[in-house]
Amino acid sequence: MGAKPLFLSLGLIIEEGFLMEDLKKIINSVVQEAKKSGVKIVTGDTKVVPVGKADGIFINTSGIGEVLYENISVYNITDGDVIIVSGDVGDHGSAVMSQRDGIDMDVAIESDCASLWDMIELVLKQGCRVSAIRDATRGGLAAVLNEWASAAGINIHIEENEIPIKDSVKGFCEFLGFEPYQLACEGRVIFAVKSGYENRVIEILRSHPSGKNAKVIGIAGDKNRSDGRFKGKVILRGIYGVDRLLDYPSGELLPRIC
Amino acid sequence: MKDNEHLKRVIINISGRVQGVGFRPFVFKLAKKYSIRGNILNDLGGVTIDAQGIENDLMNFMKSLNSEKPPLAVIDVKTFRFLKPVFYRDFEIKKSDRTYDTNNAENLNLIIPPDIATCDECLKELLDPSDRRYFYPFINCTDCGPRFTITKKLPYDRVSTAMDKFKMCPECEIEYEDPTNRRFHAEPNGCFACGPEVEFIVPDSLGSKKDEKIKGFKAIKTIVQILENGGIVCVKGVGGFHLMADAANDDAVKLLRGRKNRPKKPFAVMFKDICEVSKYAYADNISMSLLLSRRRPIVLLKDKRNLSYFVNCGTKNIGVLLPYTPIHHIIFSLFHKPLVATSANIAGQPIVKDNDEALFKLKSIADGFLIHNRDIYRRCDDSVIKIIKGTKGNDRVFIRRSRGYVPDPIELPFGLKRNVLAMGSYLKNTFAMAYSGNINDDDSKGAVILSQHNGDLDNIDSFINFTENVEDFETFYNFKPSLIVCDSHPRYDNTKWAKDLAKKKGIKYVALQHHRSHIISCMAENGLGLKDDVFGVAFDGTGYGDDGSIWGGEFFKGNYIHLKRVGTFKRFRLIGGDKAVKSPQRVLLSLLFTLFTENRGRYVENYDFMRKLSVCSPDKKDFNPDTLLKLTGIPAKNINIFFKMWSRGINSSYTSSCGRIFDAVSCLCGFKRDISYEGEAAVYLEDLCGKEEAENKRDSYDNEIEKSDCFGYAVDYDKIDDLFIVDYGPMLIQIIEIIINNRNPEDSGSLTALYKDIAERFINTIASVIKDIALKIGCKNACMSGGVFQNAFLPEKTAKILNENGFSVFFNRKIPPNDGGISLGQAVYGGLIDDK
Repeated sequence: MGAKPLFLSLGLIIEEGFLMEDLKKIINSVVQEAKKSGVKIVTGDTKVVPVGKADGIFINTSGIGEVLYENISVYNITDGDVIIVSGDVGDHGSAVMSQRDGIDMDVAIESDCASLWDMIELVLKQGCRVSAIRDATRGGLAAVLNEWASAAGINIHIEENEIPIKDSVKGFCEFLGFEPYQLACEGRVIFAVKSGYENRVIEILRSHPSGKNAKVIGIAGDKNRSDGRFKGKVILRGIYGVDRLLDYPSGELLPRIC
Repeated sequence: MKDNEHLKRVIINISGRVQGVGFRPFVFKLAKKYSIRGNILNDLGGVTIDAQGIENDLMNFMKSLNSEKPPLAVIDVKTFRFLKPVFYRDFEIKKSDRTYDTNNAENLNLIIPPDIATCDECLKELLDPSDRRYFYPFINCTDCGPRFTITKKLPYDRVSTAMDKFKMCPECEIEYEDPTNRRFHAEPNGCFACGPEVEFIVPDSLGSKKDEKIKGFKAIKTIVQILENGGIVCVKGVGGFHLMADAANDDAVKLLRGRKNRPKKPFAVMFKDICEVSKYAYADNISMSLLLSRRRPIVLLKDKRNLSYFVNCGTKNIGVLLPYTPIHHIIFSLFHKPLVATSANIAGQPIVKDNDEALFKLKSIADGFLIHNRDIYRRCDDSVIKIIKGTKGNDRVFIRRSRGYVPDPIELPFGLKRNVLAMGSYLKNTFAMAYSGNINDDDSKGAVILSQHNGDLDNIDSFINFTENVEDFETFYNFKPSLIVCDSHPRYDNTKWAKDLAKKKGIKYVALQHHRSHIISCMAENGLGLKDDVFGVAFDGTGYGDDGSIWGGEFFKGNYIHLKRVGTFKRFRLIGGDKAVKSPQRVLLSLLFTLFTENRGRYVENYDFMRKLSVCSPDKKDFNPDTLLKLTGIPAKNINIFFKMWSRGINSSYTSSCGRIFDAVSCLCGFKRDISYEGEAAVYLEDLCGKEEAENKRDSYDNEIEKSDCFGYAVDYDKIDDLFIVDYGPMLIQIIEIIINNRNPEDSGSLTALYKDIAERFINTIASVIKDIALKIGCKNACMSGGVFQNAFLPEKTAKILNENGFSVFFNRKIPPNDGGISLGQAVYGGLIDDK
């Protein structure tokens, strides 16, 4: 992380019979996003396969970026680092699921799809000391935090009440029995920020259209707890002060949501 | 002087519950009686007596060891060897021997008593103004007081208990040394001058103590004052703290519910004495003797409705408790009304046991704290027992087995191959240690010690407490397991921990399917043999099945090490997974969806019937929202979403849970909301059944189950899986008929009668189902287990109909039938399987 995206390859596998107008829609939105972020699509490939050999369309991309800000890595997360999320979680996962399965909620849920480099660069340019950055995709917030906790060998404590979630997403999760922290995002970044820099980072994020609901949600390390029984776990503190483990999401939340 | 040639000397080793029970002073007095010389001491095997005297006297002495032993003592094994007599001047109690005999490492030689309620003798002294221990809050003797919760290590001596920091004053020393005194060799002896003291605290906002020092009787008076004013107090007892409030004061009880985040789950109520109890609850003889017993559990009795509604929020039963520690008795000498007594904790967390812990964690819940300086080493919640009707009088069912019963072992009718550590379940956890018995002795039998209640392990504090308790038990008993057994659920934290623990110890672990654990626990506590096959029924809310689905309505055939699943309830979807566990409405809806879309076979007629009721339309796409609303209470818009989830299986895995079927029937009978505590809908259903209260009579309704007393059902046989499948569809259809055809839905009186009829017939139906499957399977011994058998009526109905058909029926009576008993089944299984 800390790299500016520069080039993209774009490979398509298209099922015969896929509608041209849908393909046009997709390509147009790719073009728009590329223009927005300044990324050049420099190479690609297109295959058309017989009916039934692909589920509509498979889009595969690879990217190359230039590291502009060194030393941003999960291994730099230490005791006291503040965990910040750039906006509401679970939007994309619930949007796709409700669309795909035809679950009509009162308020339609929109995906949070967005390019993020712009917003991330704003933070880094201003000299905020950031330990790690990751976008939450498959597995949502829970996946990122668990990967961080496990890799850095440190516990991460999160205040459940502080995690920003849209009411419509909450409602969707209520129905389906999911936890919003396990649903995919497509336009959210999670920061681990050195203690003291969190207010500045929040300010910068909220000044950007993609970061309006940025929030401090927790802290890395074990300052408040003396149990050595858990290492590399994510601990969620609920409203009545009861702690529970936030596990890696498993099962049907994982496949093919992004 | 004795004639030396008739002098005999014998070394007697006694193991069992022989420490902390007044055994040494008892033997001392017995020795005096029979002119025996020598000594007795506590060691790590129990007690060792070196007794010498003339033959006749010695024989009488040895006989009396058994026949006159103290009330709390339990003698397991007595071994003796004769030696050459030596010179002994008299009989003395020697210092305890702490050297460890490695030969006995494998055997359970020590049983520390459970905590014992204040005895009548001590109570008399406590309330006698002329006694020097008048209102002494820590009065006890060799026959009563805390043991399990204050003993740090064995052997049992003052220095191994929480009394070690209190040195006896001269007066207490005199009592301790005087063989004629009640407190001769009473290890926890103490008084106002030298023992622990109580203190009243109001914590400031930082959770630490202020400078106010209100101690002794004044402290207790201050607590009582808060109670009089409708406040909430936190009182240190045995095994942990209680939160207490005036049980007749609506505002006080509501306040407690709000602060503790406990909206509906009933509170236990402590009464001054048995007379008080009878003013507020119906108590039969069995209940009374249980309430007065030295084990002092909470007993569920029928409520007379004279206390605040918010004590149990309208359920039929009330949990009744009598005082068990001197502090309680002193409080009741000042406060003359019943008190809510609930475990002091934040929702779901372990009961609080230390002063600092209480002040910090509960500062926003309690208005005042009564702490003291006698430490509690082990958390131990109160036990809860329910009295239900059995086939031969009343039975007691453990809802929770903890204070007063733990750590008494469950004895097995056979030996085991190895020592086993069993992790227990995830909910209502207890863990267990199984002792193999003497491997060299064919007649030697094994025993299992279950831990105290550790609660639900789904939050970190409870899980950590669980792991600490496991480590504590292993150290305390110097227990070395060769195998660890855990539940087969891959995501339970204690299943995962079992693997790590096994690795650390260099031993193997094995997972046992949840419902098999239930059956085995029932077999073991009822002493069923190793050779005979049984018919097993495991009905509960949830348990991970062999096929990864959630089981809960399962039938088995087999023995301890091999139980084959032979039957199950027809599976149905849990709409929204865990959400459905808390929502009887979702469960019912799922069952109705099946009924409405199924139009083959036996449902062909039904389908027309449904259409006539306009429950569903011809094209199967839309359901009549009004009818579904009437049956489930779910509005149309939500029904559509749920239908999509159900038909496509979105986060809606299958279950065969009998507990959920109970929830669905509960919903049909009026419970149209989410549950706020586990089992709430099941209690609602149970409360619909039975006659209105006649004093001192256990509820029951007509015993003979005729066809008309049941609903219809079918038992199909699945050839491929070799399983009997119970189809309850016809039952649901009949119930729906009754509800839809009810002409007076507004008349709550006739509605209640209607629901009562449905609920009772439902229980009959379940009993009849069990009987039908039992007849197909054929084993004479039938074992019933699982949380559903906590129902007040099902066990008796089932037993009666099975007995009539020639079966012997067994239930869990020494341990809970709910998940609190899983560890026993795991432990026994682990002790019997072959080496792999």
